[in-house]
Amino acid sequence: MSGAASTRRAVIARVAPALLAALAGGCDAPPALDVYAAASLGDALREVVAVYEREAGVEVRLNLRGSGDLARQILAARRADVFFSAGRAEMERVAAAGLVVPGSERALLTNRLAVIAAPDAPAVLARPFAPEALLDASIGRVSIAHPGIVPAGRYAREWLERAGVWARLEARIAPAVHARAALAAVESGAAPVGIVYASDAAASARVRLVHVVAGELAPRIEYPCAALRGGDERRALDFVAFLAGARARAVFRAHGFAPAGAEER
Amino acid sequence: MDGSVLPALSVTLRVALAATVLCGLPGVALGYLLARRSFPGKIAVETLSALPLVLPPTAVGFLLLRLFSLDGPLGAAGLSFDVLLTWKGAVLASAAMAFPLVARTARVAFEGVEPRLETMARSLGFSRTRVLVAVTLPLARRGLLAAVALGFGRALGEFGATAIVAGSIAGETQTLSLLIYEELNLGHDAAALRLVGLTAVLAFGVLFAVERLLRAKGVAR
Repeated sequence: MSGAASTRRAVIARVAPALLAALAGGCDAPPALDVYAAASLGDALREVVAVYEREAGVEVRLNLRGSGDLARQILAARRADVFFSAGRAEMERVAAAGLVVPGSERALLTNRLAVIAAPDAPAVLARPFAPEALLDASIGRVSIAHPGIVPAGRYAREWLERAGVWARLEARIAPAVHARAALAAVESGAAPVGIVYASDAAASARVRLVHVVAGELAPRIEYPCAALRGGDERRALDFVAFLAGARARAVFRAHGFAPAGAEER
Repeated sequence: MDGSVLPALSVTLRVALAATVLCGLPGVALGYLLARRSFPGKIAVETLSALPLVLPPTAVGFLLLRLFSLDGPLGAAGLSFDVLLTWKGAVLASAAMAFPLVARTARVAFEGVEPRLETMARSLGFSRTRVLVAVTLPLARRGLLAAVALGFGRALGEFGATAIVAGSIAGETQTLSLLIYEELNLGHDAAALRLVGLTAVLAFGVLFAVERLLRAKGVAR
């Protein structure tokens, strides 16, 4: 026993320090830029970040969730360098805590809502589309992002309220944790119909686009972005400027977003 | 997306390992106390230490979040541990969830050691510490290793408390279980399924090791 045991001990003695070093080294990498962004920006931002990382030589870490989640995380932990929200209310909550670098906030993008359906969903959602069509109970669940915590859900509720159908539809709403999850629920067949961002709807080959919300009833959807205080503010501002630049905008446009306002370039 | 699998695997192993280190010693120590000592309030300690087994992980996560928030009790007392949304937070949450499993399994391991052997050692003039080191620990060794391995296994799969305390940041706090949820919410079912396969392999490995430890000859059980 002693021979085997001592060999084993020798192995452990050699392996343990290496493990500890890997543990410590892996976790204390040079500081990256922490970008907290709405889940609906995911695909586009990953592309933009890849370009930025190559050119600026800065590692960017994306935290993609519902904007309400992100605002809560930012307020609780104060580790984010940049906040790119899908809603004004969430940005205001962060700004009210004094965490936004003054003057750095700008509305970068706009988006629209879209009604989507699974390919095998009932045909009652024929064109021309009217919001009342959603009231047909045979459709089943309607997937939207959670209106209480996610801007996409808030916009959807706003639209449905203005159209006068929210109160009757509410019981059939299936809330999702963020905008992309509302799309995923329709893609997977968990819900036959959903109200999501037009940009997300365009990205999916697995859902049928029923209607893009426009006109007077359409909610105003803006994505404010800001550098946050507490970290390396210069790097954060540089990244926000890159997001507002022509190349980033081209990527966002390709993903179905429109640049916001005329005040920037 | 597949670029996020290796970082997630690495985060998962690092976090689970660190959580096991963090809760291993206190867990084994508590197991010993519960098995071999009687003291006032023992039942209360037993119950409290087992709570994370029964409480929803989200409840544990919420309590940790409130505790470590900058505007929480620790922050108000001027103690900032800076763990929220960091790998340290993931370790803390996993350790909290794994601790009761380690303590309970360790307790059973200690209880399986014949007390007569300890008494004999004492009668030969061994100090209490020497009895612990020379008799009890070696006899309970396999059970204790199983306790630590179970804790490691629990930490590997932790989701609820980790998601709340540490979020799901790629390369920093995003473990395999969080990545599965993320891919699911993004509609990447094939990717999620591959990750499920990977976690199943990991879980199998850990459970296999535990079973072997518990079944081997001379088990204290």
